[in-house]
Amino acid sequence: MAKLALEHLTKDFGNVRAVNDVSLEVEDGEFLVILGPSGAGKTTTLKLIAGVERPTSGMIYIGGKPMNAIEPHHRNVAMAFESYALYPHYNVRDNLSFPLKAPGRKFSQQEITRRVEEVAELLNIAPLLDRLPRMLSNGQKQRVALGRAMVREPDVLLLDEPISHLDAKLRHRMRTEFKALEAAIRATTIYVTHDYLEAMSLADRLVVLKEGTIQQSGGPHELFVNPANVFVAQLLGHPQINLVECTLQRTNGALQLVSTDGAIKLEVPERLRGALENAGIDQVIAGIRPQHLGVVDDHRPASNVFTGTVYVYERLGTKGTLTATVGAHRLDVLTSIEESFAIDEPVSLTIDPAQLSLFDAKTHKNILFN
Amino acid sequence: METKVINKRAGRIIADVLMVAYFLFALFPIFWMVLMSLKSTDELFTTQFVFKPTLDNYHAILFGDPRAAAGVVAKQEFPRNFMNSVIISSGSVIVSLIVGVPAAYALARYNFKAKENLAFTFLSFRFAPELVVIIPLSVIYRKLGLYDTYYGIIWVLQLITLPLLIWVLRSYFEDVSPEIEQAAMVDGYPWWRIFFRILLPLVRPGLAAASLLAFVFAWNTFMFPLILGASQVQTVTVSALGYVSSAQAFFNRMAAASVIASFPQMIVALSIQRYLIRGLSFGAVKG
Repeated sequence: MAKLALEHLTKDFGNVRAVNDVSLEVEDGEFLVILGPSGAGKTTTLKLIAGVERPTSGMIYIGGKPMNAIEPHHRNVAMAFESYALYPHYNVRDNLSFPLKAPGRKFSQQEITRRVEEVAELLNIAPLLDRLPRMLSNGQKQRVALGRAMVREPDVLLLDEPISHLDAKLRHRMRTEFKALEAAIRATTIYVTHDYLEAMSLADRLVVLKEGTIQQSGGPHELFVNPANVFVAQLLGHPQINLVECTLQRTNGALQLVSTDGAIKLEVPERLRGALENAGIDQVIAGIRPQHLGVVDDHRPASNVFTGTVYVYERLGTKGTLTATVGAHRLDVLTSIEESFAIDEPVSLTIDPAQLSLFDAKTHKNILFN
Repeated sequence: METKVINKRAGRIIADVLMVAYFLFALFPIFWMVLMSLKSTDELFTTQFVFKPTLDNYHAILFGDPRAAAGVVAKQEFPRNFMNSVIISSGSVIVSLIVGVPAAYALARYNFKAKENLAFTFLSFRFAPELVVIIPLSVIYRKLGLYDTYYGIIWVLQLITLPLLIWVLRSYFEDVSPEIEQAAMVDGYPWWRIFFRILLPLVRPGLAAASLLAFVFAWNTFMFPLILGASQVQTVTVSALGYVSSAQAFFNRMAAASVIASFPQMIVALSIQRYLIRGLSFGAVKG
């Protein structure tokens, strides 16, 4: 258990900057999730913390001590690799006990056996202890890799996409199990994923990474409601947030957003008015979450109501997803499961303007974050 | 249905016959050599198969000829030559392992300037005919005092054994994911422990196969010990020739010497046959 701090961490591979000026503090015992698409530098960040890659510049502190010159085997960091990186010639039991038998760690034979069996029990791999890695399914391998990281008590636990290779059902189960495991893992944990559901569900705090640069960090709900830029807004949530390019128009002192094709008109909510005036821009991107759009029966024009036609309607068990064509835009709308729509049927949509997010069309930054 | 079964059986019989034919073809020279080694000089050039086998030839090369005429192969050099072969071949393989394993690892893992050129240079040692370098080498060896020494022969044999080891092991190391090493570092092991506990076991089939082949090549080498060595380091391949001279030709003794000289290779080959087949095919194919 220890506090982890990264200061202006940068890593170049040749001409490619994998991690760009990342500064981050992770509190003792905190469960931090790094979310980003592939190639965002998530794995490289973990490897820098573990010490298997050396930073181009910047500092790494664990428990307040600078780690840059410390070899990986002296850092007391554990890591579960996305590729599992199991030792092919050792069976599961030997894989799990390998970190406990490392030189300088004085665990008795009984203690090693106890811990290995405990972690195997926890991860449901107890029946596999005598198998070789090549006899395991990907999901089993992933759990062994996870177990090998959890078997000792590291200062910092690094988990690289630990459940990404499981099938959707098992992934959902493991996600809930992980939530329960969080209590058992007492180490400061960094969990890397590209799956926003995992991130939202597990994170004490969420950091969004893109091309090696931190986009935003904060509580998962905070990021969902107030994304710092278009990228974060798109990354969180499914179906993805609807983005509509708009021009700011003043009529009779009221501020209105009109989409570039004129099909969508939105009132600027009171909450955003001040920020919008301050920003002094008239081209914005409006971000509308599918759950903040609704279908109305009344087709008469009104403020914050616009009409279109049904493009696709999917009923997915508990919710329906309506994709509607409005002018030049395709908008996703979450509906209740009772409703049903025919393709090309005209449809009127309404929006709760209070839930809008507005982004500068040039910089893609949330106007609230200027 | 039935014809299918018959066809299958016929196919297998044909395959077996072909296999036996090849077996006879491949092993006939060895069979003939063993036969010759058991014949007395009088029977040597007859083609009759009925003869009185004798171990005189083996006795002669190992312990001296009881009926030797004066002046013919006075000293019995064979046991000593055999030991020379053992020392030189194993020495070459050991030196190649010490140098080649780290070299192969470096070529597999690290990116450095002219890496592929360097790797190709190692391989190219095998291209040049020995005759091209042997004359200048022998001059240099005499000047350096390496002529007719174990060090000298073992050194020059690196031309044969080292490229083989480096190239086979390189592809083996490339097959081991770097993340496995990184996992071991994070698990608390310094690099040299990782090397011995993780890497070496994983490349063991390649290590065994390449070492064996290197041993066989070193054992069979003829030109280098012939030109760069003399009485001190004479190997069996060179000394076998000594049984045939202008004065008298002991082909039967030469055969006996060859039979004994082929034992170590056979023993080594049979004992790690398992690795040999897996070892050379596994490393080559990347997953």
